[in-house]
Amino acid sequence: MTIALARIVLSPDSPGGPAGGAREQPRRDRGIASQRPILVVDDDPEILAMLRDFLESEGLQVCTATNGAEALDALNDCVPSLILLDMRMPVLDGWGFAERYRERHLGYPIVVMTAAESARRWAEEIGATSYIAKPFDVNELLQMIERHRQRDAKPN
Amino acid sequence: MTALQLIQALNNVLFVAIFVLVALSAFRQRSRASFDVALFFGALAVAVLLTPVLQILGVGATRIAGLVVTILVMSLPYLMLRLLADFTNVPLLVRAATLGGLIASVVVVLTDEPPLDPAATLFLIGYFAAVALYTAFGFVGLSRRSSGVTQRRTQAVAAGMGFLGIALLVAGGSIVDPAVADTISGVTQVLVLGAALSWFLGFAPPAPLRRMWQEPELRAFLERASTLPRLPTTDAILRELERGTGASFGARAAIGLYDPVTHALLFANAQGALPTAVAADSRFLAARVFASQRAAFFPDAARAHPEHAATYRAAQVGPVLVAPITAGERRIGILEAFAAHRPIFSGDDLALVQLLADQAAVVLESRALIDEAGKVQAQEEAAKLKEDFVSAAAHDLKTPLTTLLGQAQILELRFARDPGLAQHQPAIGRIAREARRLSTLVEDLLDASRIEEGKLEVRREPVDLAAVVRAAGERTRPEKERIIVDARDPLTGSFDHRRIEQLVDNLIDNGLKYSDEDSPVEVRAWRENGEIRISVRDHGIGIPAADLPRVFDRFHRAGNVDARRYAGIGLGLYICRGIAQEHGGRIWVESTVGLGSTFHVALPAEEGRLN
Repeated sequence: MTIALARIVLSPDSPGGPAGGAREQPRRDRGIASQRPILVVDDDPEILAMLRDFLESEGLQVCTATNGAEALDALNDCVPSLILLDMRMPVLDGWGFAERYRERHLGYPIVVMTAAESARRWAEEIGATSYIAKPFDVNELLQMIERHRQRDAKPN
Repeated sequence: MTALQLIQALNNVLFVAIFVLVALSAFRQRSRASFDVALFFGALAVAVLLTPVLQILGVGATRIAGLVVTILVMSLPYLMLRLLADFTNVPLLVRAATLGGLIASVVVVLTDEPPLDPAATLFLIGYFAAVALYTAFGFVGLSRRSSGVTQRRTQAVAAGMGFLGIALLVAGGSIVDPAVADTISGVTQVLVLGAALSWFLGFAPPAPLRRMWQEPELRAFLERASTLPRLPTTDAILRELERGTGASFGARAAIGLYDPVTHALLFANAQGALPTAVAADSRFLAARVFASQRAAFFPDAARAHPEHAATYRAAQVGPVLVAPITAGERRIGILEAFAAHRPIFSGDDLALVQLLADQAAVVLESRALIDEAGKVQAQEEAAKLKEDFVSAAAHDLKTPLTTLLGQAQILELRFARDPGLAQHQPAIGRIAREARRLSTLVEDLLDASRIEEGKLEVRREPVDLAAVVRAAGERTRPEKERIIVDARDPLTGSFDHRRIEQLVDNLIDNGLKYSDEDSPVEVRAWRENGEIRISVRDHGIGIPAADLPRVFDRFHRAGNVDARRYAGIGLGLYICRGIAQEHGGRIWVESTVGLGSTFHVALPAEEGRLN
C-alpha cells in the first residue's frame, strides 16, 4: 500500500565536492544563490535543523523560527521568497501568525507544512498558497519550492 | 325519654351494628383474627344489651342475667389479650395466666352470693385492671414500633383502652357519691361507646378507612418513586421499593427478581424470612403468583404452603400478599408484603399491592433502560478511546518520522551525487525505503481510524479518473513494467483526487504483491450505466471463498496469505472500501484460488456535484 509520494529523480548533474553534507556546492542550474531566502517555521528542532541543512545544501538561503512570534520577528530582517509554516506551535500558532502577518500586509507566499489530516483545509483557512503533509518526500518539497520560485520570478 | 335514655338507646343500636358488621366480616373471611374480633364485640354487645332486652321482654333483671353480664364483662380482658396476640407476640405464660384468671373470675362470680366479699371484689378488679393495662401497653408499644396503617389501627385500639380506663374511673365515682349515679352511668355509657368505636376502627377498620390510612405513606412513596431509577445501584432501588411497600402496609416487604438463567426468583433482601432464591416452578407462594401472574392474598403462609410451615413460623411469616411485577410482556419478578400476625392485611389490600408492584415495574424498567443506555454509552466511549489512542499515537509518530524519512532521503540524494559514497548507497536506500514504509503504515492506521469513526474527509473537485489511473500506472515502482493500463477516454467526475489516487494505488500494489513477479496486473477504467468503473485484475494466489465476505474488513487477512512472505497488517482493502463508500460508491471482488482476483470499484459519476 502506498500513499502517493511523488518521486522525482533529480539527475545528479553537479558532481559536487568530495565532502558531503552541508558543505556541498550549491547547484548552479537553478541560479538561485542570489535569490531571497526561505523562512522555515517549525517548533520541532530536528525538523528545523534538517530543513536548514538540506535547503542550504541545495543552494538556498534559509531563515528559521520556532514559533509564530519568532517568525514575525524574523520577518524584520528576512525577506523570504516563501514561508514554510507549521501550524501547531507554542506561543503563537500558525493561525495567529497568519492573522498578524496579514495585518502587516506582507504578501510572501505561505506553504502550510503539517502532520494533521486537515492540512488542506487549514491552508485554505489562513489563505496559504499551498500545503505539504508531514512526513513529506524531500523531492516533493524541492519541487514545490521550485514551482513557487518560478512563479515568483515570472512577474519580475 | 330522658337524654340519658336516648344516649343508652343510641349506644345499644351502635353496639348491635358493630357486632353485626364484624360478625358478617368474620363469616366472609374466616380467620382467627376476624373470629376474635366478632367474639369480642359479641361479648360486649350481649353484656350491654342483655338487661335492656330482658326489660323490654318484661322478664326484668334476673339473677341469671346479672351473672351472664358479669361473666361476659369479666371475659373482656381475656378477649382483648387474644386480639393483642393477633397483632403481636404475647408470651404463653401471660396467655395461660389470663385464661386462669378468667376461669377463677367465673368461679368466683358463680359461687359467691352477692354482695361479694371484699377479697373477691379486689381480685376481680385487680385481674381486670392488670390484663387491661397489659393489653393497653402492648398496643401502645406496638403502635410505636409500627408504621402506616398498622400504626393507626393500633393507635385506635390504644385510644379505646384509654376510653375504657376513664370509664372505669368514672364508674368508681358512683360508689363515692351514689347521688350522681345516673349522670355517671350516662357518662360511662358514652365512654364505653367511644371505646367500642375505637376498637372497631382498630380491629376491623372498614375498607375505605384502611385506604385512607394507607394514603399518606402511599402518596409519599409514589412521589419518591420517580427519583428511584436514579439511585446508584439496583440493590438500593430494591431496598427503597421494599421500604416504601412496607411503610404503606405497616408490614415487611421483599422483592424477588426473576433470573432467566437459573429460572429462579432471587431475593436480594430476604430479611431472613425467605430463601434468597426460589425456583420459579416451585410451590413457594412467590413462585405461584409469578407463574399465574395474578396477585394473591394468603391469610396464612404456613397453611398455604404446608411443606415449609416450619420455615414460615420460624421466620414469623403469617399473612402474605404477593403481586407480580410485570412490564408489558416482560416478567420482572414479584413483590410480596408479609407480616407476622394476621389482621394486618385483608383481601382488600390486593389492589394496593398490585398497584405497588406496577409502580415497582415502572421503576425497575426505567432502571434497566438507564443501565442499558449506560452500557451502550460505555462501549461507545471505550471504542472512541481506542480510536482516539490509535489516532493520537499515529499522529505523534509523524513528527519523528518526518525527520527520519527526510534525513534518509537527503542522504540518499547526496550519496547518489557523490561517486565516492556509492558503496553506501544500497544501505541508505534501505533506510529511506523502510522509513517510507513506516510512514505509509502510520498513514494507513490513521486512515483506518478515520474511516472507523466516519471522519474520512472527502474533498470533491473535478477529477479525470482515467488520468488518475494512467498516472498510477506510470508511477515509478520496481514492478512498473508489469502494470497494463487501459483507460483512454476521459472519465470526469467529482472526487477527492488524493483519496481516489490512494484507492487505485492500493489496489495495484495489492495485485502486484499477491501475484508472481512476471505476471501482469491489468488496470481498466470505463463508464458503465452512469457509473465510473475501475477494475484491477491480477493472476496471483486468489482469495479462498471463505475469506471473500471478510476480505474488506479491518485487520482481516485471507487464510492462504503467508504472513512471512507478504508483509501487511490488513488495512489496505479496508481503506479502499472506506474511500469507495465515502464517495457513495461500491467495491467488490471476484476471485478464484490459484487463478487470481479482480477487484471492482463503481463510483457514481454525477458531474458537477462539487463541494
